[in-house]
Amino acid sequence: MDFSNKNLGVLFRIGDETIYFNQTHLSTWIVMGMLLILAVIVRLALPRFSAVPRGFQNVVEALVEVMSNFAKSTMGERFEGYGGIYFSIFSFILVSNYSGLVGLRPPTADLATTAALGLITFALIQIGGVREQRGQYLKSFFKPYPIFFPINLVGELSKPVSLAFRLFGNMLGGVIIVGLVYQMLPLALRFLLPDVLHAYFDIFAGALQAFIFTVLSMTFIRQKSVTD
Amino acid sequence: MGAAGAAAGLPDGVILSLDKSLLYNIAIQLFNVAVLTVALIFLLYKPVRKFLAERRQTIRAELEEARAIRDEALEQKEQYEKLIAGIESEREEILRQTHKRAMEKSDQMLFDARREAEVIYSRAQAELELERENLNDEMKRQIIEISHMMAGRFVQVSMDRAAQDRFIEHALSEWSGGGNDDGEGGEGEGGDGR
Amino acid sequence: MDPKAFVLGCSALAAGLATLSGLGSGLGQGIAAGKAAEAVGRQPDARGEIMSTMLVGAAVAETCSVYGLIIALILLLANPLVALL
Repeated sequence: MDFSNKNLGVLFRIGDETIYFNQTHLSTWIVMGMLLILAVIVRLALPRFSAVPRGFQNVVEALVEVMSNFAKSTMGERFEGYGGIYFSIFSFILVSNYSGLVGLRPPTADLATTAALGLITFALIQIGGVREQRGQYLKSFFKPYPIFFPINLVGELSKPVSLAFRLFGNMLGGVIIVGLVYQMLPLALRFLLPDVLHAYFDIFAGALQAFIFTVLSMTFIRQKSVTD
Repeated sequence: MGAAGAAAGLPDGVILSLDKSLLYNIAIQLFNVAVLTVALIFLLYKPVRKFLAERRQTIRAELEEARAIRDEALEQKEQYEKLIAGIESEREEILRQTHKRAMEKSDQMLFDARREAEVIYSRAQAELELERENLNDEMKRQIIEISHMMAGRFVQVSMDRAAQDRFIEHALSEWSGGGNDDGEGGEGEGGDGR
Repeated sequence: MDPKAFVLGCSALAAGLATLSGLGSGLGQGIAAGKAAEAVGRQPDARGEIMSTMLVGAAVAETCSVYGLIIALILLLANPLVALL
């Protein structure tokens, strides 16, 4: 049984540390390439988009519209720019989670990817908080009493950690369970039986986790950015 | 035991490692995701949003235009309806007027015709009367002629000299004494004299 | 007794115990799903809203068991205690 993130080559060396090119990087680049090709196709097809959306155009429009409206409704008109960021992140997480279906190791089943995503959200939360509340933002860590500062700090730091580990744990759990079932089954039975598991762990949980990551990130940003 | 990794002389992979290489990997993934995010925003999100906004604008403009056209059409329809209603009442008025005039005219014509008929009738009556009078006259004259002829013959046959004289005398005396007798008798006498 | 074996054995036990954190979140998710079903029964029109709220809540509740899973994985695969020996 080997569910590890296999090293496929050497990426670069820094000092005595060697960074290996592993499966996560490979799938990340495949996912990125796919999304970029899709984006270029849409960009080229955009002038020929009809007024009445059909098929693929419908999907793209719906996703963009939903993200933009979601950003606007949860964070207000000024935060519409976050819609673009989370549109991209949502697409990346979704396609990453679904990449397990074609035999890749999902990039989100690696802590490095999810931690990177969590750090992006963390940075956006802090930027939003500082930009909207200025000096008040730092003070908000000492509320309601200065003694609460450690709790507030931990609460703030736990946000990206919980985001990262939630996504990572769910995806890795799926990879491990599906992998175990594949190992367990004889070759003849490996065709239809694991589909149920794929349907749950990859399709359902994948979409759900992508959605939850986006929703929670936006909610966190709103909490810090919008002062009522 | 990664077979491929072992063959290439690479260390085994890990599922979860909390060491320095994780930080580098995070940095790599951060870079990847950032590049992807920027690219997707500028390649996909913004153009599609622009397209959607433009389409919304177009649809709104079209909708407004359609609404304006509809309002105009409604207004025109109302106008036409008013016009049609006016035409209807006018038509009725004209019809009534014409009807009245026709009635009047027909009454007049009837009246005229009746009067003319009366005139013609009375004239015919008068002519008839005249004719009858003429006929009467003719008849009288003929009767007189016939009686005259008969009288002449009777006189030729039966009158002798004495009776003739007596008769003339009687006639003369009657003539001078009762000259104011009706003209017919006189005329008859005159005709007889001729 | 080999101390490494002892540590590893205890780690395996600890990993098994750590996955018990799924108990609480499973219970919580079950309650959430039950309440969601009740809510849908009471207000079938708001089905979509209830569903998405329930899913987000369930996913947040699941974080707890995911932490347990992570700890179990760390104990099994990247055991920091072995390095201390």
